[in-house]
Amino acid sequence: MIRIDFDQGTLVICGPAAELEPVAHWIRWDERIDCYRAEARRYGPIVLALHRAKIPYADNARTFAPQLFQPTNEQAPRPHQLAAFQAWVTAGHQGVVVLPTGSGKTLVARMAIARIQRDTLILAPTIDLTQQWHGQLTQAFGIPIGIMHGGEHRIESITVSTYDSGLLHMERLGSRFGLLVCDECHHLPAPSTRLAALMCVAPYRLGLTATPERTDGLEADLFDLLGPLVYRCEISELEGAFLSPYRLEQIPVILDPDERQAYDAAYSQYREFARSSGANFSRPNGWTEFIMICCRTKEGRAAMAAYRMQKHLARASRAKLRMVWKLLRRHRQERALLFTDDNATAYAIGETFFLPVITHKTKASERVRILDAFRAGEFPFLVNSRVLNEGIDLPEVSIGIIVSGNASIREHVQRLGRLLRPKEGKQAILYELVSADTAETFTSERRRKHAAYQRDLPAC
Amino acid sequence: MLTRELLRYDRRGERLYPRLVDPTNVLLQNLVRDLALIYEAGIGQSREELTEEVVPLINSYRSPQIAKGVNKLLLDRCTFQENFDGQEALRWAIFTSAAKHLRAADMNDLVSYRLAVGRDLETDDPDQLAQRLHADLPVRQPLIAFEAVDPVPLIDRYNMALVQGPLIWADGLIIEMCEPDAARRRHFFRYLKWFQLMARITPIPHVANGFRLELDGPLSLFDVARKYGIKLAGFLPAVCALKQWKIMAQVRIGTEGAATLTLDDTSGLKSHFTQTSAYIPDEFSVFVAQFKEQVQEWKMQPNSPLLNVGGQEWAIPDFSFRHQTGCVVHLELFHRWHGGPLPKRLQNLDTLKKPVALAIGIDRALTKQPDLAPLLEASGWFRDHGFPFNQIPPVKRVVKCLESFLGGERAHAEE
Repeated sequence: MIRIDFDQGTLVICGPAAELEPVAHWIRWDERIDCYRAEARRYGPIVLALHRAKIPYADNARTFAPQLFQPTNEQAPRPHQLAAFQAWVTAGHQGVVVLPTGSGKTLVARMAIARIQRDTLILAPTIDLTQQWHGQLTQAFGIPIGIMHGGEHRIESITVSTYDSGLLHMERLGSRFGLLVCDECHHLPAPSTRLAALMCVAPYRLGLTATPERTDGLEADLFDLLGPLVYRCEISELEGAFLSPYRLEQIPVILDPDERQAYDAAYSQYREFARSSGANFSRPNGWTEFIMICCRTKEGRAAMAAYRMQKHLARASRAKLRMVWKLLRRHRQERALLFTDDNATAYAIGETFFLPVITHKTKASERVRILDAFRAGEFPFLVNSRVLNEGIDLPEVSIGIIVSGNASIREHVQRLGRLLRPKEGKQAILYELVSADTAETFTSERRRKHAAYQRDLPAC
Repeated sequence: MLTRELLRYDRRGERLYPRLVDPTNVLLQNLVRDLALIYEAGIGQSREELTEEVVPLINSYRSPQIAKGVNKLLLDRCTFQENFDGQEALRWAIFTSAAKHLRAADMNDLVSYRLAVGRDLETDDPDQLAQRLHADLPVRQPLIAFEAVDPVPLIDRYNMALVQGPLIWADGLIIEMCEPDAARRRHFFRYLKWFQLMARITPIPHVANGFRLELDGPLSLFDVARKYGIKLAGFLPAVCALKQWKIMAQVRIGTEGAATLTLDDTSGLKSHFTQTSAYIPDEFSVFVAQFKEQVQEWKMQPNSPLLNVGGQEWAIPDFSFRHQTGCVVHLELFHRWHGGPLPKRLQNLDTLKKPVALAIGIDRALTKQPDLAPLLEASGWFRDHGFPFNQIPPVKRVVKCLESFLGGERAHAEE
């Protein structure tokens, strides 16, 4: 009889070749163990094919079990949430749902968990998001929820993990869950992260994101790992009814004369070296090659220092800090989230205005405390580098201030999404501070190439 | 290990050559010594302060990249204080005060605002308060311990790291090895299991104790590259501890195309893995003397081969014996400290498809362990070809077990 075992993120399948004919597409002979082997993600199709062909098999691979998850006090789904869930069910309990940030993706996941009734693993990109999921699921299902990230490791019938921890333990835990939910699933196709889904047997899969597109074009991998795109809805379809109305204000910031002079000198030095060294930034590996060139000579190292200097001046000039103070005063009775592109700027703002800061260096326990205090209104303003870009649920926040950012459209859309959680009477405003006549202008233009930003941008 | 920007290698055609350094280079030894002195004397200084001290040394060395690399390995030997009592409470007090003043309608002047927060925290110097706000950030953490090291071993580690770095981007690793010492071979294969790597092992023709190993992992079958690179890199020092070795790997660093990395025991790489299992208990020496004195029909063989015991499982016998008829039988002893592989070994031996002449002796302490006792009770192999022992394997029981293979196809198959 055919026997299927789970082995370090793969399936070991022993049995007569003739009987394995229906699953031949997914298995390969492994001479190292004298047996067939398959990727763990093929578990569902393989057992289904054997079952349909009426071929008996001993399934020692799966260790997940039927459960009785009963949501308590669950809110009624909104039309877009119900449509997304139904599309996922119709697609065979596999697939990717694209909903704007703030539109309630987690409810779709909770509906999926209640529908499948099997041990479930939720993967999310950051510690803050895993903690948010943990809180929501505890409240929704009223049972102990497991959690895996840097500091914690507790497995339960519903477990939340960061992608990194999930990947780290998937060789051991890949057979433990029947439903895999990937939040902000556009992260999944990265070369190593994708293995988290590949090494998991879960036959039921749900991907959630607002921004499936990737600059490397690997979206196809996303659908290969989780199933097809089953539902998509854009911000414009929900704004007003289910998302807060919002306004965008781009504020050009004029550098002080001395900083302008320092910026121009540093920028010229770095560009001149790049030109003379033949660096080609349009090539895929151009920037890495430039760094290597810079390392080799004294002039190169000076050029790299100049690059960092002009970047710093554009990101965190005195003029920008003055504008931040002006905005903090303007919105002193509201809740505002400040975004920076790097930790140094985040801490500089924190130290200038005595504001709480969350970066990837902030301890997990302190993050929770700060976020709770911010949500409760104890602290009106919160600075973060990039860690709160995605998914984090802060309905009270109505003001966003982008002090600095990169050219990623996805990052920009996600930052806007932090402000769109609906609340009675809320009018969200996203400010974008851009150092005028610096490379930041170009960066800003690139990141605003999304439908959500194609509006009139009144200047301050 | 070294981060990518610290790796030094040349690409010529489709070959990759790590740029190893000479451990006897006096200038480099002096640099390592000077850097180590800064860290030794730097207890209490912050990471930022230490960086300021080492940067001039790094930049003045003829190759700052080498200097940064050895500095990284020295930093790996540093322990910085990560817990600061009262730091979080101080931050909380500052944020609470700030929240109060930020909401005030008449607090439009930044200088007045900062002074007001300072006054709440009983200081007239808001700049100094700002510095204390994140005193526990990594760059500001003080050094609390440094594990001292001599220059040459550190440079050896640096060379090892220069090879381990590219291996992180390897799909697999091919090793050709020859190690006459059974204890060292056992040590090597123990590391192989420790790193959960899979191997296709084939003997090298006409080379005693020579084997070719193709290493990767379960998923490699499906062309998923790099999953096992970190394990391969971690395993490298175990390879370098062998007497003779050669490695070959295909690596794809970042978006660079594939290149072949080839190195052997003439490269000068030195393993830092300790050879604890090379220790031979006195009791085994006593057994050898007793056996030679009491038994005439069987002669002990000078070396034991690597035995395939099914699938990817390999055993390294402690002793091999040749009977006067020419039959060869091997003996593997499981001492009380080495019972880990026993369950798997019993399972493999009991379900063997190909015959193997392997007797097993098991320390009585292991036979009494609750998890092992039922396995031994159920094992047909242990019943037919095994025995328990106290400290020294009893010669008569050993001979009886060896004789259990005489006339059978297993013993003849081993010739």
